[in-house]
Amino acid sequence: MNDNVIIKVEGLKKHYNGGAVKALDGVDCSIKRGEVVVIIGPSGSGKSTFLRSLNLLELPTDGKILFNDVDITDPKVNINLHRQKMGMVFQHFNLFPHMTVLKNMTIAPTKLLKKSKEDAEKRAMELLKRVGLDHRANSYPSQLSGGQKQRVAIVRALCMEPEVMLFDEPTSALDPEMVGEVLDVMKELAKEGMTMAVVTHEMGFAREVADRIIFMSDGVIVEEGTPDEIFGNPKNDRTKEFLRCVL
Amino acid sequence: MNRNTTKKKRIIALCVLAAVIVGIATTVIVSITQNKTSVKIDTAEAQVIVDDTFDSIIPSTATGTKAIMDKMQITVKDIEYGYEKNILLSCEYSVPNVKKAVTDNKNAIIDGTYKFFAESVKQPNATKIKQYLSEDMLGYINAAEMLSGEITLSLYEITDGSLQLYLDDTTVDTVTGGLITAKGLINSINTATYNGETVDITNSTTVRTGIKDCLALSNYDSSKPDTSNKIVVWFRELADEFERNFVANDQWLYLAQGLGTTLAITACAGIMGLILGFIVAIIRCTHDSNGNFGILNAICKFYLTVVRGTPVMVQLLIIYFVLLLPIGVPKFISAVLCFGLNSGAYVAEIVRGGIMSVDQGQNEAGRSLGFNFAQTMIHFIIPQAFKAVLPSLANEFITLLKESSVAFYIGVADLTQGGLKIRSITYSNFMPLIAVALIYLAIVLILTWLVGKLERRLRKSER
Ligand SMILES: Nc1ncnc2c1ncn2[C@@H]1O[C@H](COP(=O)(O)OP(=O)(O)O)[C@@H](O)[C@H]1O
Ligand SMILES: [Mg+2]
Repeated sequence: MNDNVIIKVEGLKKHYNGGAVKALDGVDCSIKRGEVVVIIGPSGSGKSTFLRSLNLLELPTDGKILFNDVDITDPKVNINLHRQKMGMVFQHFNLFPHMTVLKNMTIAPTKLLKKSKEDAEKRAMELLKRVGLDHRANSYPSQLSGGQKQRVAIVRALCMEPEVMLFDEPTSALDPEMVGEVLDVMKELAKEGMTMAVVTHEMGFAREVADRIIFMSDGVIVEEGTPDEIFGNPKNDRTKEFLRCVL
Repeated sequence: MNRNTTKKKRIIALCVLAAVIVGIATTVIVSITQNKTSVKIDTAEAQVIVDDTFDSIIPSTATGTKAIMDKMQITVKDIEYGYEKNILLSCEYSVPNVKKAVTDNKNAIIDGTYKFFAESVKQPNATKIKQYLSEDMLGYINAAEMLSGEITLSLYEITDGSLQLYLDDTTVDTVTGGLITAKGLINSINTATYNGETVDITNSTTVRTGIKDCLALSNYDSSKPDTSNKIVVWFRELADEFERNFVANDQWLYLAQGLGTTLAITACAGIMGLILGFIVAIIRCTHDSNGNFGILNAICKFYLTVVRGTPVMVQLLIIYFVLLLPIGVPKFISAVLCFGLNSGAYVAEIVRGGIMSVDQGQNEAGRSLGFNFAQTMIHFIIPQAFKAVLPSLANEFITLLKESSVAFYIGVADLTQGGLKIRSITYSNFMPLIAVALIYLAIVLILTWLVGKLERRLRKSER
């Protein structure tokens, strides 16, 4: 197996309502270590389902997902251990409202990685500082703006030292003026060599940061390539149509 | 806005609580201070009043009695100043020589009395009266001779500050030899009964004055004079009732011990219900989310259906008499088990609702970090669910407290039972039942207040 491939998806299918809805209908794809993959496509095309399947938040109907060469769709695999290495950032942040920012960030490392409280807090403060939120460590999520919440959500995932980060429309729920601060954090993360899979409608970000762009439609990958190939010279009609709409 | 309403609620709750406390305190204080107000006149003063009063009675009752008075030693035995006797003062007199004085002056009394009445009611019945009096005065003297030597008279202070002599019915009989029964204000008495025969005395000023003077009363009323206003009377009656129901024989202990039992049952059953409810809710939610626990889930559903579909009273009777009594389980434990089981079903549905109300994103966030289902539940879902359902849980707990009152059906000595016990001793309904209600109310208000506080603290994290 190729050492460089961190996630390999083979024939991934996700059907709802006994096959009436085919959210994913045979997706093959692989993500290399350090690669930034941006997934675009019209609403309902299965982007979220695909991303959420990668850490098994959605249980695939069929197909395989190899993470570090382990098929995590195998029921015998302890998925919880693998999820620790895949950070996920949601559209709606999903911070824990009953915990402070710091507690949001330290609960997983202390409970799951058995880190000491001091170590976990030290790391959390480092990360908060990097996203400029160290002064909000003791705030509760409800006291933060949307952009701040999403930055906290990102560093919360980073506290687990993941090998790959999954982003599902991280800026879609934000007021426009806050989109930049979140994208900046993601760009920096990409620069540092983090493996990232990002579902987004921010085409500027995709063009600037992505190593590869995947265009999905109707539960399948229609076209993929470098930003230049996809934005500069889309081959598929559906890709062309979609880009005409969003650009 | 939210804060304002809770503030208002808090104020109302505090007001009601204060009212309850003030009410209870007033009754207690009134009943305690009864008979214990400081004496306002000393014995010497009282003696003067007594002497004056007798002086004013005797000459006009019957001239002969004057002689008795000279020989009698009237001493003030006891001064009672207090609430009970209504007008602040009552005096007990010792008249030790009455028997001797009366006997010694038998003839003078008969003569004097005869003269007095004969003159007073000359027309139209003078002859008859003469006859009656000579016979009856003998009876009177005999009665007086039989006296133990002590008469009790009471002095009352009237609102305008003057003192009045009040004689109870027995004393009146004694003094007048059973001849005169005066009812109502002396000024409106138009008839007097002389040995069973009613005589019109409307036009007889002498008789009227005579009787009036005889009793030394300007407005004699055969009932105790009551110059206090209605509210005071009402409070006094309340205090008496309070005393009779709770203070007497330390009967309040029935309520205190009952309250203890009620609280113990509620606390134990509440904790049991909470634990049971959470377990059932988690089983149900787990089953809903990933299909585990099929059999357990079915059992839970059955339990919920049965408990929520039957009255708690019936459950209690079945649990105690059918299931537990035969194997010798005590009443208290049976009650706790019953209410715990009952409460558990309601808690389960409340908690399940709470768990379902937590945003699915919370579950995903927890799971995506690598927490397993149980950890996610414990760290993220349940704390939020708990916060969301806390008011409902508190209400359930309060309901439980109130429902536990049916425990008396199996003979548990709870608060309700305590009230019923007192009721069966004193035959009053008002005091024991209202007291039971007030105690329940007070506890409920305290609980509501505590929960409000807790809720505000929990809410801080979401502000
Ligand atoms: N739980 C579900 N039950 C039924 N259909 C679903 C469910 N989740 C998603 N779908 C369907 O799957 C398709 C893909 O959804 P999604 O992956 O959310 O699309 P995208 O994120 O690209 O907008 C949509 O048609 C959606 O209606
Ligand atoms: Mg989506």
